[in-house]
Amino acid sequence: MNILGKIKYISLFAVMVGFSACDGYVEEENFTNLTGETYLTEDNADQLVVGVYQSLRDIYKDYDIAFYGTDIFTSTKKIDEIHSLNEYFDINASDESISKHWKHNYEMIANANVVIDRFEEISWSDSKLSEKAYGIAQAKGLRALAYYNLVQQFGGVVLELKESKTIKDDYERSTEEECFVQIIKDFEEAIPVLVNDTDFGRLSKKAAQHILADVYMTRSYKSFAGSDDEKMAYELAEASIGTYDIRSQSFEQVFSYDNQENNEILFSVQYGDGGEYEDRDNNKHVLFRYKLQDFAGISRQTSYAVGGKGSRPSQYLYTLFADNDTRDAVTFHRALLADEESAYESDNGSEVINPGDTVVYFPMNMLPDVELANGLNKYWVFQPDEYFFDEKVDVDGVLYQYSNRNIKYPFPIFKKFDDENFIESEDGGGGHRDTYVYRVSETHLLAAEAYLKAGNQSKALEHINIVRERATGDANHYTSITLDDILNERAVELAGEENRWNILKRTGKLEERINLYNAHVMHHGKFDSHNLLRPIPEHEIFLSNGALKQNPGY
Amino acid sequence: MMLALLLGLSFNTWAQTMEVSGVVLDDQKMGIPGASVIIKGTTTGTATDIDGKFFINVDKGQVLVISFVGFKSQELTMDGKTHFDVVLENSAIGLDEVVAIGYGAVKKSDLTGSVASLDSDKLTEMRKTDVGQAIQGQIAGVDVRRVSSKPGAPLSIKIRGNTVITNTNVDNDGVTNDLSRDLSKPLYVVDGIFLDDISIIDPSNIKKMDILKDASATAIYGSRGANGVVIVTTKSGIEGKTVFTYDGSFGITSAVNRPDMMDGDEYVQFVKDGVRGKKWRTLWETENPLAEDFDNIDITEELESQFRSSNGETDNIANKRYTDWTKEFLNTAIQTSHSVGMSGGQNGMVYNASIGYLKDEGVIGIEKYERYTAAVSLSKKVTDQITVGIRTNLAYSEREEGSRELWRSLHRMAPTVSPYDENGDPVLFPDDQESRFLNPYYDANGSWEVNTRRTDVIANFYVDYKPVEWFSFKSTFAPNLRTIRLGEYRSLKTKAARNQQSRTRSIYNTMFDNSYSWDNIANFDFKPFEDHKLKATLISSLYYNQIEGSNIQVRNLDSDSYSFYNTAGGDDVRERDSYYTKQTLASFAARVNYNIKEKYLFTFTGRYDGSSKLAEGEKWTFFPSAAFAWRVSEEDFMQDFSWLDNLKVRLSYGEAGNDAPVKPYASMAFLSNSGYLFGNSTATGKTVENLSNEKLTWERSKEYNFGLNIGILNNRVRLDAELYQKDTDGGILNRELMYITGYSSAVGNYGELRNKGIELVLNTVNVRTDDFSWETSINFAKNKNEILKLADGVDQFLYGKYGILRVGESVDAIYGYEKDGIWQMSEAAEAKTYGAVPGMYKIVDQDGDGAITGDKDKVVLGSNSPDWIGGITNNFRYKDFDMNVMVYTRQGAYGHSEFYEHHSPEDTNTSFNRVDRNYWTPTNQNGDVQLPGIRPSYGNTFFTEMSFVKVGNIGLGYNVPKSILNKWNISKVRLSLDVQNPFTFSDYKGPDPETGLQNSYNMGYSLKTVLFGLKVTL
Repeated sequence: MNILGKIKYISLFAVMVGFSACDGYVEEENFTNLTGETYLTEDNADQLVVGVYQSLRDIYKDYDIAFYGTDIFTSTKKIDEIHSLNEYFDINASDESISKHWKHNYEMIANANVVIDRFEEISWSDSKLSEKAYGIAQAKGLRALAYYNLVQQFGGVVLELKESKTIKDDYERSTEEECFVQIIKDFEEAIPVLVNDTDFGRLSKKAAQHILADVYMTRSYKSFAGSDDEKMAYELAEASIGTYDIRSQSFEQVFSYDNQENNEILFSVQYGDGGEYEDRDNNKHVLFRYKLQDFAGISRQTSYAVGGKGSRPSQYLYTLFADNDTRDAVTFHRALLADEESAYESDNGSEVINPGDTVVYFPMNMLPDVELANGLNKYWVFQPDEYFFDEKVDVDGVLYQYSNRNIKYPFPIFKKFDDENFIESEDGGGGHRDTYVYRVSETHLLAAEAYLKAGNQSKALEHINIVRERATGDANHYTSITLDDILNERAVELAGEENRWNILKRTGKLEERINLYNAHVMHHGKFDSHNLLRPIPEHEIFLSNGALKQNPGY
Repeated sequence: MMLALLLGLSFNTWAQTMEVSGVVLDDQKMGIPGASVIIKGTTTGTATDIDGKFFINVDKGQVLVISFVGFKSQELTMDGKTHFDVVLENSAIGLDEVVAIGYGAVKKSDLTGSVASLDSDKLTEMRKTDVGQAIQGQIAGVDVRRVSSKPGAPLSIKIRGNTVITNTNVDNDGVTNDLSRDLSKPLYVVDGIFLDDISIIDPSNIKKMDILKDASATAIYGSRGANGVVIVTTKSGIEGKTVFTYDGSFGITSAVNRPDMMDGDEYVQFVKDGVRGKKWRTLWETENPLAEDFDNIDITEELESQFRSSNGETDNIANKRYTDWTKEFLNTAIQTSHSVGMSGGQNGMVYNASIGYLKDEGVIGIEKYERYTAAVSLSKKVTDQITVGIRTNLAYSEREEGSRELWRSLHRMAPTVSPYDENGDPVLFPDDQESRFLNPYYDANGSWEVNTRRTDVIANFYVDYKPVEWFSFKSTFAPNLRTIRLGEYRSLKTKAARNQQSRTRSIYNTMFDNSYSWDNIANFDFKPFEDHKLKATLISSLYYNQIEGSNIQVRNLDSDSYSFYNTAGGDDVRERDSYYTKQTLASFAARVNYNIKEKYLFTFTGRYDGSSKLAEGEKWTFFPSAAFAWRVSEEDFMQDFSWLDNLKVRLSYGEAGNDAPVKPYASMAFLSNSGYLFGNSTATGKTVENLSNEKLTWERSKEYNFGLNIGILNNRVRLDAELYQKDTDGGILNRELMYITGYSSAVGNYGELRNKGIELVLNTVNVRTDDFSWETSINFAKNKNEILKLADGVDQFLYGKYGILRVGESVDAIYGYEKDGIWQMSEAAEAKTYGAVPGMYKIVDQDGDGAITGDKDKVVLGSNSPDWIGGITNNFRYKDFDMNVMVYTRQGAYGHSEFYEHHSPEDTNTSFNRVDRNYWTPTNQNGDVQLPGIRPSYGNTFFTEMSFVKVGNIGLGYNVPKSILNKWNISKVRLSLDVQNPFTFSDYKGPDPETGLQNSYNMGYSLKTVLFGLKVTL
């Protein structure tokens, strides 16, 4: 065979190969995604800061760890049924509510770390240096807030202060004390740069001062408390309040749906009716409720919305509202009204319910017998001592015209988070109302707590009475106060807003008060002192290969 | 080149040409149409006509090779005789069969790698409508699993186990039921065109299927062959013979193996037990109840709310007027198919064309699958040296899945409530207690549509140039265009929308997936020395794939009349996006087959691949392989063993790569949109979405394979055995990260994985007489899958809902608490120390610390991968009748049963009906399922073994005798009756252990089809 011939064919093939071989052929071509390296400039760097705020939404939907197992909230189950988190009944490291809170806060920390590191990498012109400092200050404040959320629930946590760029799993926990030092450091660096006149919803100087006051207050109870933590707390609280007078607005006005951006609000998680789906996806309005659409006459489309998420108020919470307290009517729905025409068969024959008719009534005080019988012939009435954990038994000799259904767990549902403009979906999500995180009235109660702990009753009274006065008109309700008075006033003023578990924990009152006021805990609670720290999520322990130590008792 | 051409021509000039004729007959002396008659050493030849006759011009001294699939080839030396009667002998072994090995073909006897083949007869024997179903249980080491029983659902096909450590969809145990995202599926090559799904091919249009299993066999496909390769060759025409075929079937489909749900009385008892069960646990907090105290627990109040008078439920119970919901909405469905084909050719032009139609209805609701296919192949010998051709397959299919909730709703609805009111009209919410449960009547009548329309065009244009005998060159351009439209509409009257407009939903997604490959192949064929043969193949290949599409989802539609065709009808926009991805692959490959004396066979393959998806600088790599086979039976010293017809040993090693586990752009870090509001003004936000990986590169598998082929007793007993070990290094996986990092996972080359296994195939001809034959084929495969390494310093990740990735365990490991029966009354004191009460599952305290704690007491319970799989097919033939029985099994697969989670009695929810399992109560302490009313407090316990044996098909066929047909000038008529999937044997109480991992949302029944078929060849 002719060698030359073979070479010809081989070279023919080689030409074909050469034709198709090209390194450029395997380059990536990307239209759909942006990279930080090519996209970010000093002009749009603030978008990273906005990304940190977005993390707040998840954190402040972590209701379970804030409310279950406290004095004023308990489970919706029957008295003899178990809810592990509420009754401290075998809480373990795989508890989803707990691990979610860990995850959500670390997400905000990671996003804040990105801002803090990348703002140094972006080149800034001199005229924009103040924007750089402002972005970093917001990120540090939000990072400190997330660490503060974590340290209260878990004790000492891992302090990661850099953007994750490589894979790491040998994280070790810092002590609780080190965490407080870091939180205070971040706030102290942020506060001088933060401003009060800013977009509504950004972390303002006032808000940061309030949070830092709260941090000092919490540390003041610790073994490693600073010598003047109380003083720092009330000074910062008063700086935060400034000249604002909470009496300039009624409690009702503060919770008016159309007044969500008012001067009393120091910090709130933002929702609204525009923008993306996530912007309209608050679900706080479904808290502390039950399935109202079970009642004839009440549709799923009312402002009562769909309920039944999470915990319910304990009976104790209702007793804390005095007769003259305007906050009761803002906080609770005492009458449930029909919103659709509905025909219903009852013991009395066929009945029609019209929109506006009362379906269920929860009088604030016991109704006398005659009035009660009158009521029960039209609708359901639950006396204050009848907020059962079991299904309602019929009262003999009474006609329940509107419903002969058994009603589960009757109690006045929450009103203050009502959403007039929500999208009903699977869990009754889709609310548009902002979630208030800090308000000035809380700052007063914080100042009161700090002064009380520092031994200054008169200043403490000044602060707590102003809150009471706004609600009742009585300027001198308290003449002397204890820590329990402050906790009760907080319960009435901030029910469902403050992280009740954190407050009870810091004041050392958790165990005492749940055993007094949480019916399920009283029935079969298993609280143990190790429950003052939440378990580190199983997911983290698992992946850390032993580097991360679990809290004792779990 | 001209020189070579002249040389080539010069060989022929001095020969003396003559015309010979002949007839080719089978062992029953019937003419074999379409047998190939080729002059040995050339491509010149012809095919026999309908009577088996042929005419050809040959030179004296040349050799004619007569061959036909399924028969032993014969060689005729031209000694001057001009007519031949050739009787071909049945070839059970098919050593002369040609096997596709990728960019070429070899005789089966020359194979060095591990390749399994199925011909057209085997594929169509059971008249399955999907290629996956047609091969299920037939090939050792190929695990075909139905993941959904709904009509048109694709099948999971895995060759030699799970080769990928993490799939992208980890929702369920890490096992992907979304097959478009299954990363360990094989590469499909249909007529040289790369596909990732062959459901669009009509099995009756397939001539042959070859499955490359070991790395030396797949090496020619380099990075694309790591999960095995399925090569499909479709039918083409035969010159000189025009053939018309009709192939049709009609069948009735019905549900089999339906779960045994509770009837009315059982359900009422279950509700009572469940309500008591709720109180039972707290009862133990305060006292030590006796068994008889259970029945004394007061449940009057609860029963009132469980069974409400308002919808007649209490009356129904009093009068035992129960509804069997699953039966109420069960249909009998039709399956029908038709295909018409035509093939033939003359003057160097051959063609084959067919069109096909399939309709397959489901047994509940509006489920339906329809497929239209058309295939055309055309080739023309332009000159002696150049052949051009085109092959195309077109497919259009429409799949209606119907309501995703229907099946689950029917199994949940309480038998004590009725779908209809006294006037016979459907009730909107049949169960007062479950106001979320809209009457499934509406779903059954089409209120929820999930509709996929898909068009596929696959084509292949080629030029084959063979200037001389020892060299040929082929260039192939193969585009593949795919369009998929998914439309979904959830109208007011669905369980999803519950008659509320805000919850109505319309989805309209489109995808355009366009790709091409361009392959240039050069083949060299030398005889360097006497008895030595060398075949070399050089390949350059380019692959380009581009996907773009858009997704829209809106809610709150103002009318039900739009179906999913007007997404502007809803103002609550939940999704609107469009996307583009591109990936490319450039490859250069070479293969050398070296054959010494037909006894010693060597194959060397190398492929150099560059992939766009990998990180800069990490894109290119080289994959080598080598194989050796020794045909021991051809040795002189073996000739004394006349009972031994074939003995061949094979040994191979190969490396293959895989970049399938990464998507395009996986090495980069992107920003994702995270907007926020300040006040009511929208602010654009960005967060960093993932970690970048600048070292992302090929994952590499190294596989050793040892093979053995034995044929004895005149090849009536044949055993094929394969033993392999495949180690994957740099396994690409989605490494789960600690929440502290802010990211959920990171992609990289972290893992190491080993698959090793054994495959055995035994084919026997048990009886063979003129009138009767009985053949058996048994296959068995065992694959063990083990993670060798996950990532530096990490030896386990939790994975999906119930899975774990742990060094030393299978990738499909299931992780949870081990149950050890149920706490009995006598063990109350011990149970109490674990916070349990009698009637609850006894969880094994693995570390013996007296408490059940997550990370310490969970163990690997089993694996989704079966311990072994196998199948037996028996074929009988008596005169013109034949019969086949196919049985297959998967043993040792273990998993989480979504069916049990939703439908087993151990739950606090007593408003749903349950499957009738023997649950424990204090008065029935033999129960093996936990007391209802106590939801397992230690997480999920719905794990179970899902082993089964299924009879896949029982088929009966009748070939109308030729003596009758000849009068009508018809060459073949075949009638058949098949019963597909008639029996399932399993301990599993769900609808189908094969689909056991599937969520009962969107589930369907296991289906049996009784199918009558008619096949006519003119």
